[in-house]
Amino acid sequence: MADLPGGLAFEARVAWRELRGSWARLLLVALCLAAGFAAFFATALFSARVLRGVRAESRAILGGDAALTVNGLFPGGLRERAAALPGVESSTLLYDFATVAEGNGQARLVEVRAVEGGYPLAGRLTLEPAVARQAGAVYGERALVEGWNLEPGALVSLGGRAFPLKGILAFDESRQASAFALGPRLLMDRADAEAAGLLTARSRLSGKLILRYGPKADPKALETALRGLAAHETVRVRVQTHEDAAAALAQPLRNLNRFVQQLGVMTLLLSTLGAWAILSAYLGARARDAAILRCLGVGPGGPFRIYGLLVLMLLGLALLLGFGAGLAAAAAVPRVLGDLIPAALQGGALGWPPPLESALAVLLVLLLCLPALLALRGASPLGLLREGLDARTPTLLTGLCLGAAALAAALLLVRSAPTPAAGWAMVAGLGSLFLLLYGSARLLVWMFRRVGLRSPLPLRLGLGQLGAKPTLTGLLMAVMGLAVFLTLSAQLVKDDVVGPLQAQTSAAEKPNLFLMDVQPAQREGVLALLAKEGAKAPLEAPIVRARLVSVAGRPVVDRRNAERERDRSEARDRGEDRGEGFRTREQNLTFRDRPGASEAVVAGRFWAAGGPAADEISLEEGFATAIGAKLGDAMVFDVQGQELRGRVTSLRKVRWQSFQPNFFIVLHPSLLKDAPALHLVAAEADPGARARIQNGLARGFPNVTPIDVSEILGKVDRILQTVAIVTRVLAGLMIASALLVLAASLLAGRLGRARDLALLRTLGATDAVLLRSLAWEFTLLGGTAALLSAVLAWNLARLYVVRVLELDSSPSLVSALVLLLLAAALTAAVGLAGSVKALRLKPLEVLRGE
Amino acid sequence: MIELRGLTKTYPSPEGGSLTVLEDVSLAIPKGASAAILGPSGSGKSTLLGLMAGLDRPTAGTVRVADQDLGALSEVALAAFRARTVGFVFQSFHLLAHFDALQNVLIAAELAGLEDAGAKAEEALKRVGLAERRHHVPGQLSGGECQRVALARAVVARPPILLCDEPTGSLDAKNADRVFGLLKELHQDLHATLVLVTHDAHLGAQMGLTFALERGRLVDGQHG
Repeated sequence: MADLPGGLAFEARVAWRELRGSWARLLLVALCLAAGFAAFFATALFSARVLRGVRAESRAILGGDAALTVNGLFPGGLRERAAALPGVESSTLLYDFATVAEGNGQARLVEVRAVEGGYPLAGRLTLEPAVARQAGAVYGERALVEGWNLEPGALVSLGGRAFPLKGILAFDESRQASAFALGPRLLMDRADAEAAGLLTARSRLSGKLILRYGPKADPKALETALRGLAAHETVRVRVQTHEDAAAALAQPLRNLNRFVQQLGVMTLLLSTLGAWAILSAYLGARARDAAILRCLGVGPGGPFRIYGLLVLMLLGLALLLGFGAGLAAAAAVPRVLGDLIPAALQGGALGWPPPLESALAVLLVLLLCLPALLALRGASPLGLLREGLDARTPTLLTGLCLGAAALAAALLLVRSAPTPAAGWAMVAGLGSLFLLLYGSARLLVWMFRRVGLRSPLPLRLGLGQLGAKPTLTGLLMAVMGLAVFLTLSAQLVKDDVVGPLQAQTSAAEKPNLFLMDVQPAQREGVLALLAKEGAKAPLEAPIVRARLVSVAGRPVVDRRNAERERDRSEARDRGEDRGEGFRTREQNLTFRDRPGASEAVVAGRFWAAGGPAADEISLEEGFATAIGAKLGDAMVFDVQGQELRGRVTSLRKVRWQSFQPNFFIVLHPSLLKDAPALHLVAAEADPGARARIQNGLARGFPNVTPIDVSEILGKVDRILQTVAIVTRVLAGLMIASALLVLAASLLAGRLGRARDLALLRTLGATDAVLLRSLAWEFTLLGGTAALLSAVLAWNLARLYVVRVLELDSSPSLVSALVLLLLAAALTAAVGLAGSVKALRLKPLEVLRGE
Repeated sequence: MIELRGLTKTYPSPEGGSLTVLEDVSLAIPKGASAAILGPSGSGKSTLLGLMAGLDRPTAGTVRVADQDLGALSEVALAAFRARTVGFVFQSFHLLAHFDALQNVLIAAELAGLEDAGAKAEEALKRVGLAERRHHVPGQLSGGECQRVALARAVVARPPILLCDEPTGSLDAKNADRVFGLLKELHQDLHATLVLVTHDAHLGAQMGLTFALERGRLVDGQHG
């Protein structure tokens, strides 16, 4: 045996020669896999970096080790009790509120943070010029200072008192936690805010006590002690550790990351499927070579090891290329995302990809290739040569390998899902979808071949090619179908979710300025100001603040913190946590005599306009469910000490995206006619008019809070645009993976295709006939897969938007048609381009080469 | 008839320069005659056959087949010539693997523009004794049966020229005899000109004319 050719060195040499001999098609296989790995690594690396950033920055995000937060003024004595806890090193109290600031003849809503000396206890605060913060002065963010052309020392009015601007608030690390802001931030001294009358019991503000622990403090014990202190307060006190703050910030990021990571995993699975299809066909075609090697004396395991080494080389190359591309993409992502994720969270090294997921991805490829490799090991050389090279793996072994590969793919998906249950649901959904697409593709090929028997010759030739390798055709169609399905469904869902918002940002004659807390005596004056500045179509809604006392005879008790905290985790598990919040918070009641333009009655009957007095209440349907109210239930409210009774007579569906003045609770006008109402006024005005209106309000109606919705919508729009770009890039990557798979499969089957084309040419087929047959083949391949998946995506996306997101769905036919045509055209283009070389070969050369 | 004059064919050599496969070959085969082209491997037999079929163009010289100068024909006209004038039989059958026997023959009939192509394809298969197996794909047929399908495909359009490249080279003796017998019958029935490339002198001897090629040159041409 020692004289026989063999040994790892020999096998490695043969594998290397094989790689060099078929480098073009094998490189495509590697590229195909690399595209999937790149998407997977890029999304995983970026997500890991952001979440690591959140954890590292958690103290800076909160400004300390723990915080106690209340709505309104901070309870007397609580600060002293908290600061006296053993282990607490220092504390600082601050207030956050929104108010209108005036400066240089202009006015706008700003977010004020009123702080004490020592703020922040953790994290970075940068003022320009870099001097210590002074009392009696304010510091504004650059947007405000430069927007108003404020010079150092310029006066900024807040609550009727003017403060000199001493500098720019260049960076406040705790600001990163706020994705949305009503306006630029102003930093001032808490004592100054108190002196200006900005901190009163009637003000809308949030008080926060931030604590810093000493080096020997026990954070767990302190958290328990703080929760104990909070539990004895009558007002709700929220206790937040820096880990909580990080988790709260991380949650939406985690959700975004999961979405992006899932798309990455799906791209990896698509490309793996494609690479599997090509490698299986390639290895199947190596049966003859394996038999020849065996005849030459290579041992039974030789071909397995040679082609196994080849697969490992390809995998190594794909991993290397994929990791490099993934690193580059992850490094470039911050530029694409812009300010969607705080810049400080995106810094730092990218690290390494998740080891378990990466191992699963590699294992998946190996398991898929194993049956084809084992077939080379198991076949006898003589039998192979005599029986037409029909090497087969035992069915059981193939089944086991494919089963294990399916499990690895499922685990990859589950690991990227928010919860294991959601992950397994996704696995079931995607698995069914894949089987459906694969089965439909096989069925369609079968039907085409039978229906197409009498069809014109080019179509028949195209159908013949599709049916020649039904498994490969089925896999290619399933891969292309999955890519189209994921792309189109993501696009349609995004359109339905963001479409109305984007329409709002660009629509004319829609409210873009909301004025809050207009008192009855100010109403005429405010409306006159709006009319003077040319604001169009002001909408008004009275607002009466109240507390809910009981629903259907069940009292709503505003329990103490201790009780609430105890029940919270259980309630959250039952999905009732939201209901308690809805029931116990301050309610905004309104009254009107007909449903608004953005709402529709879905149950019961809305009262008739101008009808007699009635105790009728209309609730938004989701709110009714959350507080446990049904049609006919009695509701009791406390309006500034007065009891107000009514019964639910209708439920409404509200289109919240409309940016109209919408309310959860609408009462019959007769119920609230004597109640103390403030007014909400919404108007549409151009940017110049909005600035003048805000100036007018600051001077004449300082208690009125103007909210410029177009600024918020502008930010929403930028975020939506970013999400759209990310979705499109990943969708493009999926389609590109599918096309790469097609190109690689064409290259793998080039010899057979060249032979068939040469033969047809010998029989008298012209270039035109051959080109038409190729066009039919690839258009049918891409078009049918795209049509099938477009129909599925259309219906499932609609179902998801209507049933799960509870939004109106109007999927764009144009999007579906464009994607369908694009998929068919791209498939035809890639298919034709991949066949040009085979088409150009001289028939005699090809046929003699057989 | 087939008339070749001063035919030369060279290919670029991988080492640079050129490789001459045929050199100054001239021969004539009268209409309805049968001819064998003999020679060892690499002597240029198949290249010569390909030039007669219009599958390639000569470097120098002229090819006239059935009164047509193939050098003057466009690619489209050459395709039409192959479809209607020439029937080709290869050593390794070259059937379309994913079509059944009937479809393989039918495709050739349709490319030739035959009316009632389906019936003619069925008839051709019947003629070679494969009517019962018309719906079998090549993978389900033996080597001899595959070559008979290829024969049916070659004659379905009743072409005036039949070109065969080692048609029995891949078959056992029994099947080779059957295929060769069929070929001769079809040649007689169709009154077609039959050109057979082979290195089997025994087969060559059964043809009316024999031409011998050696290193691309015609070294012998005689009436059998």
